[in-house]
Amino acid sequence: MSKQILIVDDSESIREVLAFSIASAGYEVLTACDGLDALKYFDGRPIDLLLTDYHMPNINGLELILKVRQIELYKYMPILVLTTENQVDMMKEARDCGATGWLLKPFNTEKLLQTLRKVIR
Amino acid sequence: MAAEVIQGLYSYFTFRIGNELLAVNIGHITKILEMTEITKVPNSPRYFKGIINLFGEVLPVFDGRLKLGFPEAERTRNTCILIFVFELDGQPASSGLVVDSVGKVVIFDAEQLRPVQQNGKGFNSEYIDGIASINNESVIILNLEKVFAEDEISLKNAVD
Amino acid sequence: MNSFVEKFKDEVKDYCERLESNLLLLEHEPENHQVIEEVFRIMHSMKGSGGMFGFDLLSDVTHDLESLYDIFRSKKRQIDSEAISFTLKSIDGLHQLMVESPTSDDARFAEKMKSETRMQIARLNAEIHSDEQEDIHATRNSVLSNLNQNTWYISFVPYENILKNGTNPLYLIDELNAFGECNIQVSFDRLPALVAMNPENCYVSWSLFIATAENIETLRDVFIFVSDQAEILIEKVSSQNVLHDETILANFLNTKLNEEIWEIIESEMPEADLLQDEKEEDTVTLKSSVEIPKNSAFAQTTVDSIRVDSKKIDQYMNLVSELITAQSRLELITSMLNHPDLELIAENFGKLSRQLRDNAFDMSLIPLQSVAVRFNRLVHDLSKSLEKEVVLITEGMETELDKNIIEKLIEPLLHIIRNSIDHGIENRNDRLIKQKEAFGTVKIKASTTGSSVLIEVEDDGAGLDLTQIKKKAIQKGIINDHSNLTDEEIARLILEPGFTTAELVTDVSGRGVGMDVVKKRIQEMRGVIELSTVKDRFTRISIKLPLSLSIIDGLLTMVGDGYYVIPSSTIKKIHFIKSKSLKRDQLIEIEGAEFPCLNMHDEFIGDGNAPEEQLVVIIGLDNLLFGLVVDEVIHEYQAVIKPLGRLMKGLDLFSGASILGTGQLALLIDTNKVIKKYM
Repeated sequence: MSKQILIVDDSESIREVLAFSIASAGYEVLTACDGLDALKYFDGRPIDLLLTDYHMPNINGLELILKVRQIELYKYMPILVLTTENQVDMMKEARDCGATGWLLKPFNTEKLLQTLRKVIR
Repeated sequence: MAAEVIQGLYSYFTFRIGNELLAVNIGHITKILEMTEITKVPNSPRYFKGIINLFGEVLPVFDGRLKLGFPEAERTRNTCILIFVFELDGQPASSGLVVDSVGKVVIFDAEQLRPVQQNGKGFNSEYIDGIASINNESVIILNLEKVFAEDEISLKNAVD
Repeated sequence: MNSFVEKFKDEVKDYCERLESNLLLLEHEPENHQVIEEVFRIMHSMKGSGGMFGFDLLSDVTHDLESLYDIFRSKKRQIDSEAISFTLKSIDGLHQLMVESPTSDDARFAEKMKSETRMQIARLNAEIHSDEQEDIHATRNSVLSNLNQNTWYISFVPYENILKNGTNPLYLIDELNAFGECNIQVSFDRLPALVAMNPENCYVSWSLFIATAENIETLRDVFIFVSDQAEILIEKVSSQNVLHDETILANFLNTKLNEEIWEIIESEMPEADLLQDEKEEDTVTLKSSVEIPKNSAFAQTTVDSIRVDSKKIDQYMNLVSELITAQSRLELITSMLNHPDLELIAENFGKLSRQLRDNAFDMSLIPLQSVAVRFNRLVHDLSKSLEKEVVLITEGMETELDKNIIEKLIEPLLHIIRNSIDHGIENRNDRLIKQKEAFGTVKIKASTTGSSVLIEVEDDGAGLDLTQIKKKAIQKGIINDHSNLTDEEIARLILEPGFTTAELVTDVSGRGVGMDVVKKRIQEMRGVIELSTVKDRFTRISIKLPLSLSIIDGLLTMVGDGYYVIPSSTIKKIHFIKSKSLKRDQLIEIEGAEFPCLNMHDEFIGDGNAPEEQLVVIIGLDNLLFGLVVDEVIHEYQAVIKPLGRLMKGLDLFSGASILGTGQLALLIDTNKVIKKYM
């Protein structure tokens, strides 16, 4: 069974670009438009990677990560945060919340897949 | 010494020049000095007493009597220098004013302040923010910005 | 929020300066990857924070610039001088975009910058494309041999908690494995006894040798997410594939082991010599003056300076001068009380206060070096646009000046340099005919002499054409036909208002300030400007400035009961005179020279009680002499000058006051204005 990746971003365009590139690489894709929307997927089904934006309405990226990490099943699930700011503080904050790594916007497909391969196979 | 005007206070500080009881908002007062040596600055108008050294800062000092249109008088042991801070073109500026004696701090609510009538009291009604009273005596609330506003120019004119 | 915005603006200024110096460095070392990385990083930070603080235009434009530098950073293409010049120009543009509420003009300007940037990117991409054909050959070749491969040693020791972020360390080892042949060692050294083991922790570590054509950045990138959760060491073993040479690998591991032992020992010793290295080098050329140590990325992480609001420094200076005033009062009282213990304490207190003053004074000084990059930049830009080869030599850039002076000095200096390159230095052919070096030289030399600083700007160009200058000056009515002037006096004519030496006003020096404004600025800072020139050899402009605007060397004098300070730099001579021998506004004659004077007693006091014997302090401004008649000359005096405040801006005879030891005030005479008023 191919790996399942959950994409969370409030921008429809980014969500679609991500979904398209990731699906083309042979992964299965789930999408959610914000942290709150995303939480419904963490119902026990296997999710192999969470790729979430940082700034989002309702529940933002960091809050989402904190919540997800509390669920035993997803404790070691790789999580990547989408960010535009290449700033140590930001990344550190994300890491402190439990993120595995980050993906800098803007990115191209190649960079995206390369980063994915760092955390899932 | 970055003194700044403190806004929004209702306390006023009173002082006397001649027979007049005057006051300014306490937010404008930074120091009260005993009369001290004032260094004269040549070629400046008479109401400009000169400059003083206030803890390493050089400040101009004006003669309150001459500045506000009172007759000149000898200094007494009650003579004091009030150091004010006020806004000049949006920036705080400081200067001193020689007054005959200092009074006390009083609180006036906004409704206790009356607008100025043209009273012919001898000095420019533009300088006055309002009138209040203590024990039936009128207190003239000064508008320092207006009092000192023209000095930048008048000093220059006096020299030319 | 506002204070953040201010901080950000400061930061951007800082970023721009760093960009400039890095770019100038790249011009000489286009292959210096560390510098490219730095440029990229700075642009990235500007983009990120620009957007955050609402400077969207800035953020937009830097975004494109960043993409441009990504090309160089990813080594798709080496940076070229066209790109460098373009970026320098763009940096200037960035300042313009630092507006919180941009107008449509700003937006258009930003659009223009963006499209220019994209054109650069397109240009480079096109070049990359044409290169790719060749690349195919290159890759084929590298497959055939190991020549492109390096051997690296990588040690990866994850912290025990690395798993908690969802990292799988094995993927990272896998990723490395994909880069080339690996020789991997797994270590279980840290594995605890079974009872003590936490199954959620990671106790494994890896060390490996890898032979790959990838560069160190790519290798580091593998660990980018875990750099805070593991100890990672990447070292080059050899620039060939030596994986099968057991001896080399073993030797390498041995030296590593030794190094680690040494590191432990050295880390306990002070790093004295590191500091010394930076202070040397008096003579620096363009190249070395902007050179940064090769490991700048690391050097910059150590904190060797802190940013302090200049207002705080001013405040500190004020407090110190209060202290000095208090101290001189203490000294005065001590001398009257005649108490030995108190005297001892007062003396000590005095010494400490003076040290503190010197120290505070020192703090408000900044080295000329801080603006040197702008000189470099100007020379770079001008030599490009005028197509003249010019080398800039700077000397003594560590000379320190009051930051207020430096700020005011930049424009005049830039103008002088502009003149030197535009009018002074000849074009290549002319230089060759004159048997000079093909490239011109502009030399900026700074040095401290006593309490003033001397700055010289010298070019080895054509020199000033004195005949031409004289002709012009007569034409413009600055002098008349019969003026009998020395060469130096003729040269000085270019400092006169309304004088332009250039036959045709060029785009470069024809705009903005003229030399007369330069002179004015320098004089405003109580500085002196001098010229010397030899035809076809050089023009040298010397500027002498006080170290600080707040401290000057002056002569303390007395008139009536008031004290007045006359700046020493303007004083030519002092003479005794009989007060009866002069009246107000009268000309005074000393040693055969006649000049106007101001009897300060008559003018300032006017009581007619001037002492019989007075002194005339002769001051000079340009070629004018003027006498200031005072009652008494007290002594020479290093005066801390206090501004008179904004209410007294109208006073035009005095430019400040100084607090004497007794707490009394002395007025500082503004000699320029006095002369103008009473001449």
